[in-house]
Amino acid sequence: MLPINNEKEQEQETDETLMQRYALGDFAAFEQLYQRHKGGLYRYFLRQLGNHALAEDLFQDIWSKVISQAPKYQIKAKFSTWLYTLAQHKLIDHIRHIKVVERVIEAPSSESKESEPSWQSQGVNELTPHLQLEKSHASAALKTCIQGLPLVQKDCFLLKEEAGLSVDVIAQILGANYEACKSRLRYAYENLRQCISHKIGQLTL
Amino acid sequence: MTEVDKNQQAEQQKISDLYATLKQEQPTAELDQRILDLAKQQVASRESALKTKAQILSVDKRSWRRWQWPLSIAASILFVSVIFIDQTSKFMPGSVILAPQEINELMPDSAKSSIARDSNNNANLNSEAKEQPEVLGLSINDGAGDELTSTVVEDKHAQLQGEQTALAKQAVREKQQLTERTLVEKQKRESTAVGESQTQLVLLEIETLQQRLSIKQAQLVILQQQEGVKLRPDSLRENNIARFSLNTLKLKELKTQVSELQDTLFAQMNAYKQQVLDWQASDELLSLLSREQQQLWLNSR
Repeated sequence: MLPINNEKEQEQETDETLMQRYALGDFAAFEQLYQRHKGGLYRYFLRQLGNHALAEDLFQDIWSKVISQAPKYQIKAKFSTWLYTLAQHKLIDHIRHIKVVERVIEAPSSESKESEPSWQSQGVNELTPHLQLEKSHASAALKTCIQGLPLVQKDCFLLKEEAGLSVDVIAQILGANYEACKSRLRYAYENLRQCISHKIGQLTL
Repeated sequence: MTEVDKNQQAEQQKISDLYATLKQEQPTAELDQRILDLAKQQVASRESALKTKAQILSVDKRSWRRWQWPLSIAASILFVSVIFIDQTSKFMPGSVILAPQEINELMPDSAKSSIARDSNNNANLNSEAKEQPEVLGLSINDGAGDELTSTVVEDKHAQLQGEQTALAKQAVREKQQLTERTLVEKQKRESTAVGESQTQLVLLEIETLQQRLSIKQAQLVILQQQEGVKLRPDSLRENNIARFSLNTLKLKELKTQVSELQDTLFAQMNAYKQQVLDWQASDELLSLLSREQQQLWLNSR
Protein backbone atom coordinates (compact mmCIF):
# COMPACT_ATOMS: atom_id res chain seq x y z
CA MET A 1 0.00 0.00 0.00
CA LEU A 2 2.77 2.38 0.88
CA PRO A 3 4.47 2.49 -2.54
CA ILE A 4 1.13 3.18 -4.18
CA ASN A 5 0.52 6.07 -1.79
CA ASN A 6 3.96 7.46 -2.52
CA GLU A 7 3.31 7.31 -6.23
CA LYS A 8 0.05 9.12 -5.76
CA GLU A 9 1.75 11.76 -3.65
CA GLN A 10 4.37 12.22 -6.33
CA GLU A 11 1.68 12.61 -8.95
CA GLN A 12 -0.15 15.13 -6.84
CA GLU A 13 2.94 17.15 -6.20
CA THR A 14 2.67 20.55 -7.84
CA ASP A 15 5.18 21.94 -10.29
CA GLU A 16 6.12 24.58 -7.76
CA THR A 17 6.95 22.02 -5.08
CA LEU A 18 9.04 20.05 -7.54
CA MET A 19 10.92 23.17 -8.51
CA GLN A 20 11.62 23.98 -4.86
CA ARG A 21 12.83 20.44 -4.26
CA TYR A 22 15.16 20.76 -7.21
CA ALA A 23 16.44 24.06 -5.85
CA LEU A 24 17.37 22.16 -2.68
CA GLY A 25 19.30 19.62 -4.73
CA ASP A 26 16.73 16.95 -5.58
CA PHE A 27 17.53 15.94 -9.14
CA ALA A 28 14.60 13.49 -9.35
CA ALA A 29 12.20 16.41 -8.86
CA PHE A 30 13.67 18.13 -11.89
CA GLU A 31 13.33 14.99 -13.97
CA GLN A 32 9.66 14.78 -13.06
CA LEU A 33 9.12 18.45 -13.86
CA TYR A 34 10.92 18.10 -17.17
CA GLN A 35 8.82 15.12 -18.18
CA ARG A 36 5.66 17.09 -17.45
CA HIS A 37 6.50 20.12 -19.55
CA LYS A 38 9.00 19.10 -22.22
CA GLY A 39 6.42 18.12 -24.87
CA GLY A 40 4.23 21.19 -24.58
CA LEU A 41 7.11 23.60 -24.55
CA TYR A 42 8.85 21.92 -27.45
CA ARG A 43 5.72 21.93 -29.57
CA TYR A 44 5.06 25.58 -28.61
CA PHE A 45 8.38 26.53 -30.21
CA LEU A 46 7.99 24.10 -33.10
CA ARG A 47 4.54 25.33 -34.09
CA GLN A 48 5.64 28.93 -33.76
CA LEU A 49 8.79 28.61 -35.83
CA GLY A 50 8.07 25.54 -37.97
CA ASN A 51 11.68 24.47 -37.66
CA HIS A 52 12.96 21.60 -35.53
CA ALA A 53 16.51 22.90 -35.15
CA LEU A 54 15.39 26.37 -34.07
CA ALA A 55 12.77 24.92 -31.75
CA GLU A 56 15.41 22.70 -30.10
CA ASP A 57 17.76 25.65 -29.64
CA LEU A 58 15.18 27.80 -27.94
CA PHE A 59 13.87 24.84 -25.96
CA GLN A 60 17.34 24.15 -24.54
CA ASP A 61 17.89 27.83 -23.76
CA ILE A 62 14.72 27.93 -21.72
CA TRP A 63 15.55 24.84 -19.70
CA SER A 64 19.06 26.15 -19.08
CA LYS A 65 17.53 29.29 -17.71
CA VAL A 66 15.18 27.28 -15.48
CA ILE A 67 18.14 25.28 -14.14
CA SER A 68 20.32 28.31 -13.46
CA GLN A 69 17.53 30.28 -11.81
CA ALA A 70 16.31 27.42 -9.63
CA PRO A 71 18.12 28.62 -6.45
CA LYS A 72 16.40 32.00 -6.74
CA TYR A 73 13.00 30.55 -7.57
CA GLN A 74 10.13 31.89 -5.45
CA ILE A 75 6.51 30.88 -5.74
CA LYS A 76 4.88 34.05 -7.04
CA ALA A 77 2.87 32.40 -9.80
CA LYS A 78 2.33 28.96 -11.28
CA PHE A 79 5.44 27.29 -12.62
CA SER A 80 3.86 26.90 -16.06
CA THR A 81 3.10 30.63 -16.19
CA TRP A 82 6.73 31.41 -15.40
CA LEU A 83 7.99 28.81 -17.89
CA TYR A 84 5.86 30.03 -20.77
CA THR A 85 6.61 33.67 -19.97
CA LEU A 86 10.30 32.86 -20.37
CA ALA A 87 9.49 30.97 -23.58
CA GLN A 88 7.42 33.79 -25.02
CA HIS A 89 10.12 36.40 -24.26
CA LYS A 90 12.69 34.14 -25.81
CA LEU A 91 10.59 33.70 -28.89
CA ILE A 92 10.03 37.44 -29.29
CA ASP A 93 13.75 38.08 -28.88
CA HIS A 94 14.50 35.45 -31.47
CA ILE A 95 12.01 36.80 -33.93
CA ARG A 96 13.32 40.31 -33.47
CA HIS A 97 16.82 39.05 -33.89
CA ILE A 98 16.21 37.42 -37.22
CA LYS A 99 14.03 40.35 -38.34
CA VAL A 100 11.14 38.12 -39.07
CA VAL A 101 9.17 40.37 -36.79
CA GLU A 102 9.07 42.94 -39.57
CA ARG A 103 7.24 40.53 -41.79
CA VAL A 104 5.03 38.89 -39.20
CA ILE A 105 4.23 41.35 -36.38
CA GLU A 106 3.97 44.73 -38.14
CA ALA A 107 1.10 43.71 -40.39
CA PRO A 108 -1.45 42.67 -37.71
CA SER A 109 -0.95 45.70 -35.44
CA SER A 110 -4.70 46.28 -34.96
CA GLU A 111 -7.48 43.89 -34.09
CA SER A 112 -9.05 44.29 -37.56
CA LYS A 113 -5.80 43.34 -39.17
CA GLU A 114 -5.27 40.54 -36.64
CA SER A 115 -8.46 38.99 -37.86
CA GLU A 116 -7.10 38.82 -41.38
CA PRO A 117 -5.02 35.70 -41.59
CA SER A 118 -2.13 35.33 -44.02
CA TRP A 119 -3.49 32.16 -45.56
CA GLN A 120 -6.24 34.27 -47.23
CA SER A 121 -3.62 35.48 -49.67
CA GLN A 122 -2.63 31.94 -50.49
CA GLY A 123 -4.28 30.37 -53.49
CA VAL A 124 -6.92 27.80 -52.70
CA ASN A 125 -5.81 25.79 -55.67
CA GLU A 126 -2.56 24.99 -53.88
CA LEU A 127 -4.30 22.12 -52.10
CA THR A 128 -5.23 19.16 -54.14
CA PRO A 129 -8.89 18.05 -54.01
CA HIS A 130 -8.12 14.63 -52.62
CA LEU A 131 -6.36 16.22 -49.58
CA GLN A 132 -9.44 18.27 -48.91
CA LEU A 133 -11.53 15.21 -48.83
CA GLU A 134 -9.25 13.00 -46.84
CA LYS A 135 -10.14 13.02 -43.18
CA SER A 136 -6.61 12.09 -42.25
CA HIS A 137 -5.36 15.20 -43.94
CA ALA A 138 -7.42 17.50 -41.77
CA SER A 139 -4.72 17.68 -39.18
CA ALA A 140 -2.17 18.54 -41.85
CA ALA A 141 -4.44 21.37 -42.92
CA LEU A 142 -4.66 22.52 -39.35
CA LYS A 143 -0.88 22.59 -39.09
CA THR A 144 -0.66 24.68 -42.21
CA CYS A 145 -3.38 26.97 -40.98
CA ILE A 146 -1.64 27.45 -37.63
CA GLN A 147 1.49 28.48 -39.50
CA GLY A 148 -0.57 31.06 -41.37
CA LEU A 149 -2.03 32.66 -38.24
CA PRO A 150 -0.81 36.09 -37.13
CA LEU A 151 1.80 35.79 -34.35
CA VAL A 152 -0.33 37.19 -31.54
CA GLN A 153 -3.21 34.84 -32.38
CA LYS A 154 -0.86 31.92 -32.76
CA ASP A 155 0.66 32.73 -29.36
CA CYS A 156 -2.73 32.71 -27.69
CA PHE A 157 -3.85 29.57 -29.47
CA LEU A 158 -0.69 27.55 -28.73
CA LEU A 159 -0.55 28.66 -25.11
CA LYS A 160 -4.11 27.50 -24.69
CA GLU A 161 -3.80 24.22 -26.56
CA GLU A 162 -0.26 23.17 -25.67
CA ALA A 163 0.15 24.51 -22.15
CA GLY A 164 -3.54 24.32 -21.26
CA LEU A 165 -3.45 27.81 -19.78
CA SER A 166 -6.52 29.90 -19.05
CA VAL A 167 -7.20 33.20 -20.81
CA ASP A 168 -6.16 35.34 -17.85
CA VAL A 169 -2.84 33.50 -17.49
CA ILE A 170 -2.21 33.86 -21.23
CA ALA A 171 -2.97 37.56 -20.93
CA GLN A 172 -0.49 37.76 -18.06
CA ILE A 173 2.21 36.01 -20.10
CA LEU A 174 1.68 38.14 -23.16
CA GLY A 175 1.38 41.33 -21.20
CA ALA A 176 -2.02 42.06 -22.71
CA ASN A 177 -5.37 42.68 -21.03
CA TYR A 178 -7.91 39.93 -20.58
CA GLU A 179 -10.41 41.17 -23.18
CA ALA A 180 -7.79 41.65 -25.89
CA CYS A 181 -6.47 38.20 -25.25
CA LYS A 182 -9.93 36.66 -25.33
CA SER A 183 -10.62 38.44 -28.59
CA ARG A 184 -7.36 37.23 -30.12
CA LEU A 185 -8.19 33.69 -29.15
CA ARG A 186 -11.65 33.94 -30.69
CA TYR A 187 -10.19 35.29 -33.91
CA ALA A 188 -7.57 32.55 -33.92
CA TYR A 189 -10.23 29.81 -33.74
CA GLU A 190 -12.36 31.53 -36.33
CA ASN A 191 -9.46 31.95 -38.73
CA LEU A 192 -8.44 28.35 -38.29
CA ARG A 193 -11.97 27.17 -38.96
CA GLN A 194 -12.18 29.26 -42.12
CA CYS A 195 -8.73 28.14 -43.24
CA ILE A 196 -9.54 24.46 -42.79
CA SER A 197 -12.87 24.93 -44.58
CA HIS A 198 -11.01 26.51 -47.46
CA LYS A 199 -8.62 23.61 -47.58
CA ILE A 200 -10.78 20.59 -46.89
CA GLY A 201 -14.32 21.93 -46.97
CA GLN A 202 -16.71 21.95 -44.02
CA LEU A 203 -15.05 20.84 -40.79
CA THR A 204 -17.08 17.83 -39.81
CA LEU A 205 -14.58 16.00 -37.66
CA MET B 1 -24.94 31.90 -22.91
CA THR B 2 -26.44 32.77 -26.28
CA GLU B 3 -26.91 30.41 -29.21
CA VAL B 4 -24.10 32.11 -31.09
CA ASP B 5 -21.76 31.62 -28.18
CA LYS B 6 -22.74 27.97 -27.96
CA ASN B 7 -22.03 27.44 -31.65
CA GLN B 8 -18.75 29.27 -31.32
CA GLN B 9 -17.75 27.11 -28.40
CA ALA B 10 -18.65 23.97 -30.31
CA GLU B 11 -16.54 25.07 -33.29
CA GLN B 12 -13.63 25.84 -30.95
CA GLN B 13 -13.99 22.45 -29.35
CA LYS B 14 -13.87 20.78 -32.78
CA ILE B 15 -10.62 22.57 -33.58
CA SER B 16 -9.22 21.69 -30.17
CA ASP B 17 -10.10 18.04 -30.78
CA LEU B 18 -8.50 18.17 -34.18
CA TYR B 19 -5.42 19.77 -32.66
CA ALA B 20 -5.24 16.97 -30.12
CA THR B 21 -5.03 14.44 -32.98
CA LEU B 22 -1.92 16.12 -34.35
CA LYS B 23 1.34 14.33 -33.99
CA GLN B 24 2.76 14.92 -30.53
CA GLU B 25 6.30 15.91 -31.39
CA GLN B 26 8.88 15.52 -28.64
CA PRO B 27 12.42 16.78 -28.27
CA THR B 28 15.05 14.25 -29.25
CA ALA B 29 16.46 11.87 -26.68
CA GLU B 30 19.84 13.46 -27.15
CA LEU B 31 18.45 16.89 -26.26
CA ASP B 32 16.66 15.42 -23.24
CA GLN B 33 19.90 13.87 -22.03
CA ARG B 34 21.79 17.11 -22.54
CA ILE B 35 19.32 19.07 -20.44
CA LEU B 36 19.15 16.45 -17.71
CA ASP B 37 22.95 16.30 -17.54
CA LEU B 38 23.07 20.04 -17.20
CA ALA B 39 20.55 19.90 -14.34
CA LYS B 40 22.53 17.15 -12.61
CA GLN B 41 25.77 19.06 -13.00
CA GLN B 42 24.19 22.14 -11.50
CA VAL B 43 23.00 20.18 -8.45
CA ALA B 44 26.46 18.70 -7.94
CA SER B 45 28.23 22.05 -8.18
CA ARG B 46 25.70 23.66 -5.84
CA GLU B 47 26.19 20.88 -3.29
CA SER B 48 29.97 21.17 -3.39
CA ALA B 49 29.75 24.93 -3.01
CA LEU B 50 27.44 24.53 -0.03
CA LYS B 51 29.76 21.95 1.53
CA THR B 52 32.76 24.21 1.16
CA LYS B 53 30.87 27.10 2.64
CA ALA B 54 29.66 24.96 5.54
CA GLN B 55 33.18 23.71 6.18
CA ILE B 56 34.58 27.24 6.25
CA LEU B 57 31.83 28.34 8.60
CA SER B 58 32.30 25.37 10.91
CA VAL B 59 36.09 25.88 11.07
CA ASP B 60 35.60 29.55 11.94
CA LYS B 61 33.02 28.67 14.53
CA ARG B 62 35.16 25.96 16.13
CA SER B 63 38.27 28.09 16.48
CA TRP B 64 36.29 30.91 18.05
CA ARG B 65 34.35 28.60 20.38
CA ARG B 66 37.55 26.98 21.64
CA TRP B 67 38.92 30.27 22.98
CA GLN B 68 35.65 31.92 23.91
CA TRP B 69 35.54 31.06 27.63
CA PRO B 70 39.26 31.27 28.51
CA LEU B 71 39.51 34.64 26.81
CA SER B 72 36.42 36.06 28.47
CA ILE B 73 37.52 34.84 31.93
CA ALA B 74 41.02 36.26 31.47
CA ALA B 75 39.60 39.59 30.33
CA SER B 76 37.27 39.74 33.34
CA ILE B 77 40.06 38.99 35.83
CA LEU B 78 42.31 41.58 34.24
CA PHE B 79 39.56 44.19 34.36
CA VAL B 80 38.76 43.57 38.04
CA SER B 81 42.47 43.59 38.97
CA VAL B 82 43.10 46.89 37.23
CA ILE B 83 40.13 48.50 38.97
CA PHE B 84 41.19 47.12 42.39
CA ILE B 85 44.80 48.33 42.05
CA ASP B 86 43.70 51.72 40.83
CA GLN B 87 41.24 52.23 43.69
CA THR B 88 43.67 50.98 46.34
CA SER B 89 46.38 53.42 45.27
CA LYS B 90 43.84 56.25 45.30
CA PHE B 91 42.37 55.70 48.76
CA MET B 92 45.35 54.31 50.74
CA PRO B 93 48.25 56.70 50.03
CA GLY B 94 51.47 55.80 51.81
CA SER B 95 49.88 54.27 54.89
CA VAL B 96 52.00 51.90 56.93
CA ILE B 97 50.25 48.66 57.68
CA LEU B 98 52.11 46.55 60.16
CA ALA B 99 51.55 42.89 60.70
CA PRO B 100 50.84 41.78 64.30
CA GLN B 101 54.24 40.13 64.46
CA GLU B 102 55.97 43.33 63.34
CA ILE B 103 54.07 45.37 65.92
CA ASN B 104 55.16 42.96 68.60
CA GLU B 105 58.76 43.29 67.51
CA LEU B 106 58.64 47.08 67.45
CA MET B 107 56.76 47.33 70.74
CA PRO B 108 58.83 48.52 73.77
CA ASP B 109 59.28 46.18 76.71
CA SER B 110 57.08 48.28 78.98
CA ALA B 111 54.16 47.98 76.59
CA LYS B 112 54.69 44.25 76.24
CA SER B 113 54.71 43.82 80.02
CA SER B 114 51.56 45.89 80.39
CA ILE B 115 49.74 43.79 77.81
CA ALA B 116 50.89 40.65 79.55
CA ARG B 117 49.67 42.07 82.81
CA ASP B 118 46.29 42.77 81.26
CA SER B 119 45.85 39.23 80.15
CA ASN B 120 46.84 37.93 83.56
CA ASN B 121 44.42 40.25 85.23
CA ASN B 122 41.63 39.08 82.99
CA ALA B 123 42.41 35.49 83.73
CA ASN B 124 42.46 36.05 87.49
CA LEU B 125 39.46 38.33 87.58
CA ASN B 126 36.83 35.72 88.36
CA SER B 127 38.91 33.86 90.85
CA GLU B 128 39.81 37.09 92.64
CA ALA B 129 36.19 38.06 92.73
CA LYS B 130 35.38 34.82 94.42
CA GLU B 131 38.27 35.14 96.81
CA GLN B 132 37.58 38.75 97.84
CA PRO B 133 34.74 38.11 100.23
CA GLU B 134 36.87 35.63 102.08
CA VAL B 135 39.73 38.11 102.25
CA LEU B 136 37.36 40.68 103.67
CA GLY B 137 36.16 38.20 106.24
CA LEU B 138 32.79 37.55 104.72
CA SER B 139 31.25 34.22 103.98
CA ILE B 140 29.68 33.47 100.66
CA ASN B 141 27.03 31.44 102.31
CA ASP B 142 26.16 34.24 104.66
CA GLY B 143 22.72 35.40 103.50
CA ALA B 144 22.91 38.86 105.16
CA GLY B 145 26.28 39.62 103.58
CA ASP B 146 25.24 38.70 100.04
CA GLU B 147 24.44 42.24 99.01
CA LEU B 148 27.61 43.67 100.49
CA THR B 149 29.66 40.96 98.87
CA SER B 150 28.26 41.71 95.46
CA THR B 151 28.91 45.46 95.91
CA VAL B 152 32.54 44.88 96.86
CA VAL B 153 33.00 42.53 93.93
CA GLU B 154 31.51 45.08 91.56
CA ASP B 155 33.78 47.84 92.93
CA LYS B 156 36.82 45.68 92.55
CA HIS B 157 35.72 44.73 89.06
CA ALA B 158 35.27 48.37 88.04
CA GLN B 159 38.65 49.26 89.50
CA LEU B 160 40.33 46.52 87.55
CA GLN B 161 38.52 47.52 84.37
CA GLY B 162 39.70 51.12 84.84
CA GLU B 163 43.27 49.96 85.29
CA GLN B 164 42.99 47.76 82.24
CA THR B 165 41.60 50.60 80.16
CA ALA B 166 44.41 52.91 81.28
CA LEU B 167 47.00 50.28 80.47
CA ALA B 168 45.44 49.59 77.09
CA LYS B 169 45.41 53.30 76.30
CA GLN B 170 49.04 53.58 77.30
CA ALA B 171 49.91 50.62 75.08
CA VAL B 172 48.11 52.15 72.14
CA ARG B 173 49.86 55.49 72.73
CA GLU B 174 53.24 53.77 72.86
CA LYS B 175 52.43 51.91 69.67
CA GLN B 176 51.48 55.13 67.91
CA GLN B 177 54.65 56.84 69.13
CA LEU B 178 56.69 53.93 67.89
CA THR B 179 55.07 54.02 64.48
CA GLU B 180 55.59 57.76 64.22
CA ARG B 181 59.23 57.37 65.21
CA THR B 182 59.69 54.69 62.55
CA LEU B 183 58.16 56.94 59.92
CA VAL B 184 60.31 59.93 60.95
CA GLU B 185 63.44 57.79 60.75
CA LYS B 186 62.42 56.55 57.35
CA GLN B 187 61.84 60.10 56.12
CA LYS B 188 65.18 61.15 57.58
CA ARG B 189 66.92 58.34 55.78
CA GLU B 190 65.27 59.33 52.55
CA SER B 191 66.11 63.02 53.00
CA THR B 192 69.70 62.12 53.86
CA ALA B 193 69.93 60.15 50.64
CA VAL B 194 68.59 63.14 48.74
CA GLY B 195 70.99 65.48 50.55
CA GLU B 196 73.90 63.18 49.75
CA SER B 197 73.06 63.20 46.09
CA GLN B 198 72.76 67.00 46.19
CA THR B 199 76.11 67.22 47.95
CA GLN B 200 77.65 65.03 45.27
CA LEU B 201 76.28 67.35 42.63
CA VAL B 202 77.69 70.43 44.39
CA LEU B 203 81.05 68.74 44.68
CA LEU B 204 81.02 67.91 40.99
CA GLU B 205 80.11 71.49 40.25
CA ILE B 206 83.00 72.69 42.38
CA GLU B 207 85.39 70.37 40.55
CA THR B 208 84.20 71.61 37.18
CA LEU B 209 84.53 75.21 38.28
CA GLN B 210 87.99 74.47 39.62
CA GLN B 211 89.09 73.11 36.25
CA ARG B 212 87.59 75.97 34.28
CA LEU B 213 89.10 78.52 36.67
CA SER B 214 92.55 76.92 36.42
CA ILE B 215 92.42 77.12 32.64
CA LYS B 216 91.25 80.71 32.64
CA GLN B 217 93.88 81.73 35.12
CA ALA B 218 96.56 80.05 33.05
CA GLN B 219 95.32 81.90 29.97
CA LEU B 220 95.35 85.10 31.95
CA VAL B 221 98.94 84.57 33.02
CA ILE B 222 100.04 83.85 29.44
CA LEU B 223 98.28 86.93 28.12
CA GLN B 224 99.76 89.10 30.82
CA GLN B 225 103.22 87.83 29.93
CA GLN B 226 102.59 88.62 26.28
CA GLU B 227 101.44 92.09 27.22
CA GLY B 228 104.63 92.55 29.22
CA VAL B 229 106.66 91.73 26.11
CA LYS B 230 104.69 94.09 23.93
CA LEU B 231 105.02 96.97 26.34
CA ARG B 232 108.76 97.14 25.72
CA PRO B 233 109.84 100.44 23.99
CA ASP B 234 111.14 98.72 20.86
CA SER B 235 107.88 97.07 20.24
CA LEU B 236 105.89 100.30 20.25
CA ARG B 237 105.36 100.53 16.59
CA GLU B 238 102.33 101.67 14.69
CA ASN B 239 101.52 98.28 13.25
CA ASN B 240 101.43 96.79 16.77
CA ILE B 241 98.96 99.31 18.14
CA ALA B 242 95.88 97.53 16.83
CA ARG B 243 96.96 94.16 18.16
CA PHE B 244 97.79 95.76 21.46
CA SER B 245 94.30 97.19 21.91
CA LEU B 246 92.80 93.82 20.91
CA ASN B 247 94.86 91.95 23.48
CA THR B 248 93.85 94.47 26.11
CA LEU B 249 90.22 93.75 25.40
CA LYS B 250 90.85 90.03 25.61
CA LEU B 251 92.66 90.49 28.88
CA LYS B 252 89.78 92.44 30.35
CA GLU B 253 87.27 89.86 29.24
CA LEU B 254 89.34 87.05 30.66
CA LYS B 255 89.69 88.84 33.97
CA THR B 256 85.94 89.29 34.16
CA GLN B 257 85.39 85.63 33.41
CA VAL B 258 87.90 84.61 36.09
CA SER B 259 86.22 86.89 38.59
CA GLU B 260 82.80 85.46 37.80
CA LEU B 261 84.05 81.93 38.10
CA GLN B 262 85.70 82.72 41.44
CA ASP B 263 82.40 84.10 42.75
CA THR B 264 80.48 81.04 41.61
CA LEU B 265 83.08 78.70 43.09
CA PHE B 266 83.05 80.53 46.38
CA ALA B 267 79.26 80.35 46.52
CA GLN B 268 79.30 76.61 45.76
CA MET B 269 81.96 76.00 48.39
CA ASN B 270 79.88 77.79 50.99
CA ALA B 271 76.82 75.78 50.00
CA TYR B 272 78.74 72.54 50.27
CA LYS B 273 80.14 73.50 53.65
CA GLN B 274 76.63 74.02 54.97
CA GLN B 275 75.77 70.49 53.99
CA VAL B 276 79.02 68.88 55.10
CA LEU B 277 80.01 70.80 58.19
CA ASP B 278 83.43 69.18 58.69
CA TRP B 279 84.50 69.68 55.07
CA GLN B 280 88.00 71.08 54.54
CA ALA B 281 88.74 72.74 51.22
CA SER B 282 92.08 71.79 49.71
CA ASP B 283 94.86 74.37 49.35
CA GLU B 284 94.74 73.95 45.61
CA LEU B 285 91.07 74.95 45.61
CA LEU B 286 91.64 77.86 47.93
CA SER B 287 94.47 79.14 45.73
CA LEU B 288 91.99 79.60 42.89
CA LEU B 289 89.95 82.09 44.92
CA SER B 290 90.73 85.78 45.21
CA ARG B 291 92.60 87.00 48.28
CA GLU B 292 89.52 88.51 49.81
CA GLN B 293 87.59 85.29 49.34
CA GLN B 294 90.44 83.29 50.82
CA GLN B 295 90.43 85.55 53.85
CA LEU B 296 86.68 85.23 54.27
CA TRP B 297 86.85 81.44 53.98
CA LEU B 298 89.58 81.20 56.60
CA ASN B 299 87.69 83.52 58.94
CA SER B 300 84.48 81.57 58.59
CA ARG B 301 86.29 78.35 59.49
